[in-house]
Amino acid sequence: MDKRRVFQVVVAVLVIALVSIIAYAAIQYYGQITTTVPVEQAVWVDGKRYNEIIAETLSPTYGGCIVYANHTLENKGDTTAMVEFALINITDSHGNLVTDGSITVSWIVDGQKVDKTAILPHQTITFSIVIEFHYAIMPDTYTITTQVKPYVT
Amino acid sequence: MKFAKKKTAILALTLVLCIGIASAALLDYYGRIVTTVNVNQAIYLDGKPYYEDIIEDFNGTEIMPSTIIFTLHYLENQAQNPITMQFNYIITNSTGHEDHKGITVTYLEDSKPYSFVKDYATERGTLHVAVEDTGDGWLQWTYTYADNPTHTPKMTVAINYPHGFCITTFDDGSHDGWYYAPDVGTTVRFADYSGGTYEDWVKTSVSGENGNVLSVAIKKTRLPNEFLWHGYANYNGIPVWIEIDENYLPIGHATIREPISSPFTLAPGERLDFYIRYEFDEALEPGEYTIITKVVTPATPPKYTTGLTVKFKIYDTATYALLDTGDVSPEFYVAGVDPIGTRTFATKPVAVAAYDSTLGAWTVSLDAGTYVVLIKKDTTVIYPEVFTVTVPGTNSEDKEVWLEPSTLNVYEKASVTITTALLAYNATSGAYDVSVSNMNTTLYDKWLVTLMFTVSGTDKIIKAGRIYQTKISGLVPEEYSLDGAVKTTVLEDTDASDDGVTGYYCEFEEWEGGEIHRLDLYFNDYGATGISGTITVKLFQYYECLNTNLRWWTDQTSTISVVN
Repeated sequence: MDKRRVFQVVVAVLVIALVSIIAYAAIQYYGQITTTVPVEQAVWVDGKRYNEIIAETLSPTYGGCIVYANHTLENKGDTTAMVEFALINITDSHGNLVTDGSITVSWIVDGQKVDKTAILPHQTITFSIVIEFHYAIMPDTYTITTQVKPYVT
Repeated sequence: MKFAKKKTAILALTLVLCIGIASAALLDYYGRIVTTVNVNQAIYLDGKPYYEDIIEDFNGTEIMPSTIIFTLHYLENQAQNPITMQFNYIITNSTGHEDHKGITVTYLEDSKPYSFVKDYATERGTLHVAVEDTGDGWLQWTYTYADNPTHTPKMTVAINYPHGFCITTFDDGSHDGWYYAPDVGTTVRFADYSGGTYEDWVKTSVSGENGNVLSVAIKKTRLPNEFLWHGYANYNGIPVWIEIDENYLPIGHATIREPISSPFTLAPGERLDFYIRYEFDEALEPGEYTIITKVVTPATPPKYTTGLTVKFKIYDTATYALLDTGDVSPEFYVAGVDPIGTRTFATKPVAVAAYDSTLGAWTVSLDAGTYVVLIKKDTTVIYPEVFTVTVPGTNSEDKEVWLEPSTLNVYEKASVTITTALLAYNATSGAYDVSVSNMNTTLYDKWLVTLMFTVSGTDKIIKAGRIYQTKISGLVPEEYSLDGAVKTTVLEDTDASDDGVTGYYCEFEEWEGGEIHRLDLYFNDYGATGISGTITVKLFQYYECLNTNLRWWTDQTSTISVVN
């Protein structure tokens, strides 16, 4: 290659490099905003957060009886919240799981037996946990753990 | 290329992290409720929980046979729903074994309260008679004399005359405050005319302005469920018979208790007062009995009770093997049939089982219920065996059930050899010490015949039966001793129609292979001579089995010559 040709190549490279440097120097945005929002859970059970266990002891009862535990659900959100009720487990006084069907659990909202319900925005509803004991159940102290969960289709 | 791979890995990791963060950010639940409830039992007996036994020892009183005792209890439904239940009981004797012979237990409740009102007019005035349930466990008779009595009023109440008892509170100088039990001739004076009590079950009183109201109250637990009664009064010298017919037999009829249907239902909050009625039979064997009553939930009837496939196994106790060969024939008969106990038996079985190699069990198609099963084997090895069995119902859709009991044991017959030894009685030495080969009635008068039975066959048995001896006139078996157990009464079978054998006999229990048993027979001709014949001793094993078609074995015999 002659000197002239070498010069032309060097100039071309420099031009390209210059253009690149100019392009990189253009601004990418005019401003950046960092927003921090404390978000509470939408649905509150008895006015409590999810990590606050609601413990209750009902009056002594008898086999063959049905007992009701009344609670509230409040939707603090702006959209309707669908929730479902779930039985987590039932244990006797020794911590043994009770799975023999001697205790049945259901939920009532507005007088209807339901397993899920909708809560309108900024509304509070009441619901009852219905616990039915078989008439031949072994006398004992039973613990029933239930949850109110977001209903996801 | 390498760079491209790195980029992909970084991208994937980022995505995974993003998903993880997103998942953690959604609530699993809005709230958790932990509810604790103390649950008591629904039905209380005498106000007590199930683990507190209610003990009745009848105050330590010894119960005589032919006695009826009532005890009063109550049940209460604490639940919000009707609950159905029933009574169950079990009786055990002093050895702890179940024994229901001679004791009857029934459960009763009060009938509609008994009430009776009637006026008896006499020429000297009207006698008002009333019987009422006082509501606190007593039945009370009240005789009210309308006018001031000129004679001392008299009153008698008789229950189930002439075999029951009678209470008298009247006064004629000798008969005030008496309790009569005419059936046993017992008369007990317990009070004077002013009234009084007898034991803890009779109360009498005299009241009214002029002593014109007399009453007798009897504790209901001492009264039968249903009884006849009558009364007697003396109205100013005129006898008044109450509730009696022209033959002076009682016509007053009271029902104070009735059986509780089983199962029964108690409504929410309902209380049932009930009686346990214990009836001890007159032939009850003396001893200590424990009667346990339980109030239980009735079992739910099974879904399927017909067309069941019933499975069972047959176990040979000698070979320790389950039998599955075709030469075993398990035949099922209706309950109550005895296929082995009679010499001729022609009833057809309702079903015959077959071995199912897939299921590994014998199977037969039957409805739920109780049956008698006969197991017999064509080969001459095992004894025929009968069992009373139960086919339960099931909720299982395959309708397969196991017989109860599920395994039926059969036993192989052992073999027996019999040896005989004879000793004649030596009048000089006063002992049986003369060894003889026969019973010579001219030379001797008494003999001791010793038979030894050697049983062979490991884990095999000889079923319980009888050892027969031919009866020879004039030669009397006075005593026998089997394995040291002396019996001075020798039994005799004179009827061959039922078992095909006659003669003197003694009974023996089941023998096992490897055992040796000894029978000593003592004969006496009481000085008679000229007696001769042959005594055949027959080991008639398995006396329960008399069906000639099932007795495949030959009963061993041994003979003794009687000469003169």
